[in-house]
Amino acid sequence: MNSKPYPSKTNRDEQWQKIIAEWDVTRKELKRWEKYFFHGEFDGKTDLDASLLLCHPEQSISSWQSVINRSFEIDPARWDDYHKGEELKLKSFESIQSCFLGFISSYHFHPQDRAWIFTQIFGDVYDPKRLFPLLLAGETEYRKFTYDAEMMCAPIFMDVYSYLEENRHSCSYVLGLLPFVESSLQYFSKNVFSTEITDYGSSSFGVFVGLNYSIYRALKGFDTASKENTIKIELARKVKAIFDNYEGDLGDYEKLVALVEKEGPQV
Amino acid sequence: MSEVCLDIHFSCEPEHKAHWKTVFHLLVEGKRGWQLQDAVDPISKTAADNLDDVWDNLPHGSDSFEVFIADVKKQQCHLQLMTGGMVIEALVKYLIPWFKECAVSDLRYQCSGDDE
Repeated sequence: MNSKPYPSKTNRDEQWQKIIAEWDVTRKELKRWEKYFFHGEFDGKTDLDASLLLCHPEQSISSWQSVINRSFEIDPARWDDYHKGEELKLKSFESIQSCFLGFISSYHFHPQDRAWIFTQIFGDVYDPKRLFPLLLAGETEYRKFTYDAEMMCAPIFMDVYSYLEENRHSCSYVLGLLPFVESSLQYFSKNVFSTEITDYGSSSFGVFVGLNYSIYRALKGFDTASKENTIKIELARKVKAIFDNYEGDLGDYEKLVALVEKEGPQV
Repeated sequence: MSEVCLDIHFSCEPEHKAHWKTVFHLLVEGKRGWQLQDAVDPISKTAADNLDDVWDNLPHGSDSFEVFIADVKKQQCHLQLMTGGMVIEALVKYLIPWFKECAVSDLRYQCSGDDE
């Protein structure tokens, strides 16, 4: 497990303002969440979700574990509604994993803190044998991830796209996770390296989008680029270099590069 | 009756015309939370605070209706909400009195169903 301490670069006051700007909850509800965000105390009951995990004032394995332990208290009446406890647990488990992948982007952490959180859960590099480091309430054995390498990397590639083309997010988050991307490459499906993709909701598509725009941006020269675009080109080249330097089977990657060079991104 | 339209008409004070425009704009945008309450504040702080209770009393909370028309012309305000047949009673029961808290005048409403 990553033993580096939490960078703690996030300005909590600013983070709170950014989070609530995107929330459509009433003032009464907002007060409850504000108390939780700054003091870790939640009045009343709420379902376990990304907010409960990511708004907690302390971001750490032990704090997330305590949140899960406390909040997975389904009352018997509701439990009966679901009929199958195991199915509910599996859904909850998938939801908890996704909190640390895509959902976290709505919580406005400093990029370094966000990258740290990612590595705490998924590791510095991809390890197919790694277990999810949090126990579901009442369980004694750590579960296998239900998300594969490509699913874990798809949000990173979507952030690459958001940064390169929409000026959203920061490149330092992606830079911090490039070793994870590099170690994941051998587990990607060949779809990622095809010249077109039609399965828009898939993880392959997420990677494909980020890869396309990385190839496209990497072509640009530094000569006339602004400072901002220079940083983008550097990131794009680093992402592309991971693929260029990979010695395994990359399917139609070279064809994709040629196509993007000729026609631009294929998405 | 599966869907019901609730037309609400009222007159607002001249100084609140701009405030109602903001409130209606937020409703059309789908905002039902603190931004909406903050926009209601200049009209009536009590009404803004009580919006929580209105949503709490609706079967699907603040998602109980869609806004089809939200018009402010001169001081005449017209809101048309679309909701389900099972929700309309609660909507009338709790939302209409809420508008009264907003010190509007000539408040009237009409329900019309899609089978009429």
